Amino acid sequence: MSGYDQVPEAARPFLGPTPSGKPVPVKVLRKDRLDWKEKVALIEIFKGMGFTLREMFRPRFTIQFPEEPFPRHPSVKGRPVLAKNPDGSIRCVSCGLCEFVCPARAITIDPGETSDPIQREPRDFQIDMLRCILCGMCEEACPEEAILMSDELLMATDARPKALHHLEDLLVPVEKLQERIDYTKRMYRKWNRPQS
Amino acid sequence: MAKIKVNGREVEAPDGANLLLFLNDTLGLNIPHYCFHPALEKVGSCRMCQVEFVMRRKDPDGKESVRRVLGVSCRETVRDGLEVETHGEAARRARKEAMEFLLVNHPLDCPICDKAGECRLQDYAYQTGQLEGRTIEPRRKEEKLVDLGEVILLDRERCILCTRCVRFFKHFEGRAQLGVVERGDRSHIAAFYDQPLTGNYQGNLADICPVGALTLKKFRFKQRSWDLTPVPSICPLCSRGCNIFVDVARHGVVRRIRPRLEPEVNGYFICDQGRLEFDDLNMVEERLRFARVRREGRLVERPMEEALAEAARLVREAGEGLLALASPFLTVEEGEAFLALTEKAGFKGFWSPPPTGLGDRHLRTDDPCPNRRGLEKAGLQAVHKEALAAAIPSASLVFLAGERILRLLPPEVLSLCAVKHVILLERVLGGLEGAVQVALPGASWAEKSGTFVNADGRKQRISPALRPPGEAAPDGRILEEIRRLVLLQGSGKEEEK
Amino acid sequence: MTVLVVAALLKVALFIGLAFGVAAYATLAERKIAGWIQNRYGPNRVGPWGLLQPMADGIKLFFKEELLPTGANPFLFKLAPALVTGSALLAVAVIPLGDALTVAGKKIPLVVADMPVGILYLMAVSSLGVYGILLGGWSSNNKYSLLGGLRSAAQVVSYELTMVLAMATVLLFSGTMSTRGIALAQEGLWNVFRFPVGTVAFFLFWIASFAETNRLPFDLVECEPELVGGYHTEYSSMRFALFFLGEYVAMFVQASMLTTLFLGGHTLFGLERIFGNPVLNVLLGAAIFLAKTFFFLFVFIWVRWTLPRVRWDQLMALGWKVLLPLAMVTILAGGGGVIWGIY
Repeated sequence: MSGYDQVPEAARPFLGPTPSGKPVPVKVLRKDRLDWKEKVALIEIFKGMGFTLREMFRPRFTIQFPEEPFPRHPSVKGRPVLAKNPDGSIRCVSCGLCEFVCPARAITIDPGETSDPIQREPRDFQIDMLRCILCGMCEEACPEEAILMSDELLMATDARPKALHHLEDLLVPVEKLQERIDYTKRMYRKWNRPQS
Repeated sequence: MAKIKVNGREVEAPDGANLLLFLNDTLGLNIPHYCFHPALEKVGSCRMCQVEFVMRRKDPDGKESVRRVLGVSCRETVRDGLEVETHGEAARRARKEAMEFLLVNHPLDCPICDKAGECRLQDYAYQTGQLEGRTIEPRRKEEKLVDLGEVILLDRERCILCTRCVRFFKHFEGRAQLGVVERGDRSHIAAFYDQPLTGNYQGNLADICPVGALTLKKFRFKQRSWDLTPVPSICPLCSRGCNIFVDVARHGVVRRIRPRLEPEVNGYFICDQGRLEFDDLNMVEERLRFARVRREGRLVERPMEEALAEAARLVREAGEGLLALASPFLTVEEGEAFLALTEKAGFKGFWSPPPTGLGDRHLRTDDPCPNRRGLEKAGLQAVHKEALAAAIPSASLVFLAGERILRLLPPEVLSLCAVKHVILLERVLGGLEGAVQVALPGASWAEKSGTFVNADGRKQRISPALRPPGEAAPDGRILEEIRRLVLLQGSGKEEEK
Repeated sequence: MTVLVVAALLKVALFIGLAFGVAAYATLAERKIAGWIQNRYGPNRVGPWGLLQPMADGIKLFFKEELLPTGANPFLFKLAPALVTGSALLAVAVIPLGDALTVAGKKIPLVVADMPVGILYLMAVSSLGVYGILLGGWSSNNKYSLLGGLRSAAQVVSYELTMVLAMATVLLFSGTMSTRGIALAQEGLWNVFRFPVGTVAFFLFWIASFAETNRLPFDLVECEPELVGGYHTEYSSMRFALFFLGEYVAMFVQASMLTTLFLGGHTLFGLERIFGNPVLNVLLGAAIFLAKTFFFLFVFIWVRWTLPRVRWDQLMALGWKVLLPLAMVTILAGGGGVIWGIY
């Protein structure tokens, strides 16, 4: 099957011949000459006025953005953040892959050691949001699902130092990021595992 | 020379050479190996360097029969008539299977492993292309943090039991300190009676370990290996002149020093002092960043030009009363510049510290001067304590030049200097603040280029890995500039201007 | 006498305030209604429901830089916006807001100048506005501005004919040229209901008023796709604001004229006199008048956000070939009707 049946009926003439080879009769809906009613245009004017009048009482499309959150798909790449486990520990092990892969060199990690003898943990983790281009390569490089692109889009500040986000600004409970984690997992499964 | 056949092609190879080394270094075939190390005994335990040996034999009836045998190439020597297939189906499969076995219990530690980026296991795992394990059993749990003395940490989970470390002590020092204990799947590396490791060469374990099992305490979690830029240089801590890499991190910090292969000097190894004593290069706070000149009894920071002119004036006025003492850390070129500057001086030479007694039968020598032969060849005399102590009281001006000279001079000599007028070309002010008239900010050996001549008379080049802070500059440039100013002032051109 | 002077001054202040207030909030209404039609909210950030938006706009426009294009005639360039707003404001003088109040024995009609020739005055003054537009376009030293000004002149001349003829039909019915008189004459029957002549005249006047105020679908004077901004391309800051204001005041004037001439002004079939108190009755009459006016203002805006702009030749064809003959027929029919006593 060519998927012909999945196309809505109205759009089928644009597909050309049917799979069976029979040509589809194309119905032209447009008239090339106007009749007198259309020439006078009065009826059309009143139809139009009626239409706009009706539209005035329809619900609004607008979302009042800063006050009213608008629904964001998990594919939105907002401010990169670091996931914090439910027990309060930081997922990041400061492996430096994001630092290395970052094309804008926005990330600077100061690695440190925790009491857990083998675990690394960032002592500080800086993302310079003036440099960050929200490409999401850090997220893709991260082996620990620690750095993730959140859906936070309001990143403007009035001072340069405020654009330098430190570890404490970046930590976000992992539950809030679960949707994004699931989404990236699904996508990576799609892209990175070509079935041989 | 022997004629051998590699992958069907006739090649000439030196008779008796190691086959794996020949295949990798001469032909560039890049055959993986873990347990093999050119400086150590060959045991062939990791099975990663397997190749296919083709054996041809003529039967008595004249018919030729061919037999193909898999075998490790690291234990084979080159001889006439040898025929190997390195990348045939069988060899590749054998290596891939060996790799899979090695990875069965290797933890997925790479993000927190200091070896990541320069790890052979990582490299070959990517080369073989099997990125997922087929095992469903849980991985072996082992102790992840075993303290092996002051220098090295052991992670038993990451260990692949190549026994390079065991053999290192056995063959380099002649006395084993590590061994494989237990049997079978419980075997692991341990120090005898859990004693801390001893000796001056423990740091090499981190280099020879092909995985991240043995790591340096000093380098632990400091920097990812891919963020380091290796700069080839020469270790200045003794007169051996070991070849090293200075690994510099992104922000101009030395993170690590490791050996650079030079068969005629140090081979594959360096001592622990050379490896670990580099904190001095990252000194920030104490460093002299700008020149200082004594004005109205106080040392104040002045522009470099002014300090150089002042130093030149003092040197010219002192004439014969100048006592010039260079540090043994000066390069050959700087020694020559120093000599040219102090040609009129009544007493000159370079300080020769007494033997340290740290020398051993491997690399470390007793002489702490990296460039004694070079400076002597340039024309400077080695000066010892007695001669110096006798000469200082009669001098009118003391010129101390070169890295670490204040640290190397004995306190009694320094106290003699403290009552004189002193020009100091150093990285720190040391204890002479009261006597210094002009302090010029010098550079360390990692901030300049030049030549060291080691104890065997071998000339070796050092190259700059860092940038000197502030207005500090390589010593040689400062010495030459002072000399130029001395000549200018002497010819009266300065007044004319 | 004093009473009359004070009353006159008060009326002037009231009518100017009313005109400016209506014009300011008409800009807000314009944007709000445009928003609603497009399923948006319109401006809603300044004050509750965006009610302070006109103030914010005014303040913003005050602080904008005033530009004078190279090669422009400075005097005419500065005069033009004042002419537009000024003429629109002068026309406000003859709007009959309501019936007469009796203060201290003196009858004071709720109109600034109850002239016997009010309609003539109105036509004269409101035609002056086109001078402002023409001068503004001409003095800007900009070809688009000039084209806008020329179009304005042509358009106003074409449609003013129709407008005057439609108006003359009304004058035939009422027999007076005083605007207040016309409103009072319709107490029995609104002119729009004098079928068919009054009705046709009403629609002719209405259509022509779109052209008179340069509103869509006849805003060829500004016509962004062709002329950038038309005659006010080069204007900025308060000079631009004056043009803007003038346009909305003119809209208010046209809406009030429609009300006065055809919809009986402040009358509503006797309902405007339901209160026993004459003062309350007058206020009610004013409210009725304003309600009718606002309805027409709303229609101005509603039409703007519904209909596309007509082509220049279509505009001229409509004016000269359809509306003008129709208006002539209307006035003839109206005259005949009056003579033969039909109306």
